[in-house]
Amino acid sequence: MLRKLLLGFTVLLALALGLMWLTINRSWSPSELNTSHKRGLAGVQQKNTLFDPVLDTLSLRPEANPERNVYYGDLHVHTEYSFDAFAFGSLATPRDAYRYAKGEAIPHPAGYAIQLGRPLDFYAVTDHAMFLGVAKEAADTSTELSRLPMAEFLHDLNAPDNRGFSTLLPRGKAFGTFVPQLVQKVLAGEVERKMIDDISRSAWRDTIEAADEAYIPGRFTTFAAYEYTSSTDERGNLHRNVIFRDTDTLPELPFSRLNSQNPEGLWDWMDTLRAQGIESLAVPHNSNGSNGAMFQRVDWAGRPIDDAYAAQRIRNEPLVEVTQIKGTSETHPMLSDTDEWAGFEIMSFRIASTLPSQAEGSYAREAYRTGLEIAAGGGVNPYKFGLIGSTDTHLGGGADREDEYYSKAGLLDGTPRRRGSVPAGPILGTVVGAMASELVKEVDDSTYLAFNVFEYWGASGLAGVWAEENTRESIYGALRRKETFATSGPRIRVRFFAGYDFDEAILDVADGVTRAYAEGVTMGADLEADGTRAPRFWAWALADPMAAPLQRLQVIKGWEDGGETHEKVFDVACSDGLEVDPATHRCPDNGAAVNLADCSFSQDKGAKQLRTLWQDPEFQAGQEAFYYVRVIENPTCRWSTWEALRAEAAPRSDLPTTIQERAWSSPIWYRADRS
Amino acid sequence: MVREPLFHFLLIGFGIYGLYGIAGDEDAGALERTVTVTAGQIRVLTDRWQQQWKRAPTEAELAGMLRDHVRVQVLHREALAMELDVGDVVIQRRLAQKVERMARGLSTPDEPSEDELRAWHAENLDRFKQPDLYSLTHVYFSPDERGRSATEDARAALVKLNALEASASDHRSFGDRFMLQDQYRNVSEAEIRNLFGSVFARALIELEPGPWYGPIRSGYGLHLVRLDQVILSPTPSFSVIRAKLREAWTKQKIEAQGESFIEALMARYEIIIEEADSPISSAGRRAAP
Repeated sequence: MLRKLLLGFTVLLALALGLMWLTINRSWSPSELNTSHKRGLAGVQQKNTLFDPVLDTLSLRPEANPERNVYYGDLHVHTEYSFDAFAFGSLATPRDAYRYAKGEAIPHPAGYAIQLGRPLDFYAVTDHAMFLGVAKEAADTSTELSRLPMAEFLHDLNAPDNRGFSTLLPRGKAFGTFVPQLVQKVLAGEVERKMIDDISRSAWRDTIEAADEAYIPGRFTTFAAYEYTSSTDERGNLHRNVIFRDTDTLPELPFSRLNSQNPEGLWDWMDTLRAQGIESLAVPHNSNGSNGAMFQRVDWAGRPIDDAYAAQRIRNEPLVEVTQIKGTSETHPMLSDTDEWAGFEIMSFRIASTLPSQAEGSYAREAYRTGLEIAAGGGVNPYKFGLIGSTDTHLGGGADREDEYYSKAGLLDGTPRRRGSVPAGPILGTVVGAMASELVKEVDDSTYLAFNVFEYWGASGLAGVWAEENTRESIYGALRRKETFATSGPRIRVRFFAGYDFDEAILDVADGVTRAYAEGVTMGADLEADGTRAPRFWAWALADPMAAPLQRLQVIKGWEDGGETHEKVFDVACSDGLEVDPATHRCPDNGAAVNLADCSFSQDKGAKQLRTLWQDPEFQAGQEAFYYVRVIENPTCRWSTWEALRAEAAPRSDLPTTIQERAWSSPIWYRADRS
Repeated sequence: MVREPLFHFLLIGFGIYGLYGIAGDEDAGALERTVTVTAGQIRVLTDRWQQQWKRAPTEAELAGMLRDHVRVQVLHREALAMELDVGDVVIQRRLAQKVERMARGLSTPDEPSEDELRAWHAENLDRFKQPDLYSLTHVYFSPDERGRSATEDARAALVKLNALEASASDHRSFGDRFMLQDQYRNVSEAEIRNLFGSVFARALIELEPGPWYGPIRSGYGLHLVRLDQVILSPTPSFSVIRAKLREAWTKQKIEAQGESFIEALMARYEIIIEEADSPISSAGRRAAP
């Protein structure tokens, strides 16, 4: 009690001094300084604990954990250096982005603050390499670039008095016209390449500096990174993020769409850098919007994938970003018709368009199967990738919570009305509808704005890694060996091991994890056949302590049999003491429900932790297979429901009202003995 | 007073204004009808050409550039004469930005003295303060597995744990297997909050180091907790962050100098704001929409 009084008094004193300081402003009285200095020290000595004034506290780190910890991060973040982010009104710099990741509030262009409830452990700013920093430069009317005729409509685009509703259409168009025009002019030599490169070079240097400044080994990791933004001529998305291991030596300019439309060119460049000691990896994303172009059976030239292609691809692309704001790409109900959870946050349009995207070739699970089929034909498996999630925010900070959603396209979708979760209202709806009828949508007798397909976007995702400590070396190492998992936003943890000698005790003994590493393999790795023995899988998930509890733990299996592949979803552990039905491989319904009147959910259903030692009941030693874990939360409100509720409107009947948040581990590949 | 930067700014400011005043008076009302393109301006034009095309311009190309240049000069003067700049927000903002940038670039502050820097460090301790660091050991009791007896079991274990000689791994024979580490060293409150949730973190930092406490509730269930060590207020010492301090000091100084210059300018104006006759919203802004 006394301590609290003292504390209160100290705070008041500090406030009073602060106010005095503000009023007097510039009278530097030495006596005051002494008082505050002593006050600082007195605060330390109050508690009888260790304090050594000469201690170099910056070097104190949490201990490295040989059994590895989970670290959460976002490896897909845009700032004002990206041409589209700039057109969306974003003014966040790379430094702002890192401040956001560390828990500080930064402004959203629509005029409110965005802030993480819990800081992240690692972060990478990944601006579009093509025209890096160029839109910002074009908008600044004092620059050479701004004199180009096509730059005119970017002039002062983000000036404080130029951010109103009437600028939204031009913003959308700015994004759609400026870039293609500039690409054309640069490739035709009408705009000097050097002018563009100079701008990008300085923006890239600044991006790297920001990453280095924000890096705190042991506590917060950053990477130099960027996005390679290409697509097919039919707008099939081929985007990848390139993450560099360290910043010791880096290329002067990132390799972009201006260098090659074909991603094979990117891999050549990464291989060349690697030979010079510059290590990087590329992470494809939004395969859902690739119109089948992301995971094909043929190369860019249309020839069947050969070993050289496959080896180069998997060497450079060990991971895929399987979930983000623009939808989840695990699988599609059309591809996995026996998976009741396949229809999760499906966004089935090509990126930056409203054209439909073909499902085949666009989803991760199918790619795993394609990989097994290529391997069955004697080839190298090009699709042996691990999974991460990230947000792809264009605001410097990502929205991964359903109850605090702000999407990612800045002014275009910064309010519930603009992203279509709340009716536009009669006046706005009529005005916009009269301008362009495709920009509104009639649902349940209400008019909603439809600037894009924002209503199908969602509050997702996160990258989880298992690493010894929070440093570049350790986290990059985890990304490389694919000891990663993805979540749709919540901080769920997933562990996954496979081995032949695991027994039930491994689940309970204190050194179980050390044993599992020593005697088995973990997510992202191969498990070699051991004669005809059947492996045992240790699947383990822990709920986000600040989100809904877990409903079920699943293992998803894909296998090859005579050149054909198959897939199956197995529930392996259920919440609430329920048992898996051995015939259907399903947990009974645990009865968890959501109250749509206030978005509250059942408090007495679900589990904090689910774990089991599982054996595949259909295991065949001669069949190549992949296994990954999916863990499903109890249902909760989707962001669109939260927003409708706050606006006292009914949730749209054409959107899911609830969502079952989840996490996906990287697979373990079982390698059959084919000799 | 003479060393006061504000004084210098005012002096420079008045100087600039005075010069404009003298030059401007003669022209008032009349439009200057001569356009002179100096050799220096021609050099700027040809240099720019050189940069873009990697060669000098031809006679005809230079003539074209000069024609464009003169055209802009003439149209600009006509525009000023017609007062087209008045009320144009883009032009206003551009010019205001120029003055603002000028104000910040007026002078670089002197190197701070050692005493000045130390004093500023002391005054801004919080800005450079690192979080307090905690080391803890915990034992988890799972409500999923133990149901209602979790609390009772934890209480029983607490008595036993406190009766034991303190040794590194005694606690491992109690409680349930848990995914997180059973011991953490040198983690901050924010990191503990990330790991166990905020209720647990708040409770933990209030504990006295040494004995076992609990059960404390987290987002996962119940825990018995022992605070092993606390390192409070590990503010980096002056010498460790001297370079950082200097940088921050200079940045803040430049900012303050620019601001006080602009404030001094503003003080020279009488500001009249009339009663608003348009609706004003009283709603506050939410943290998230």
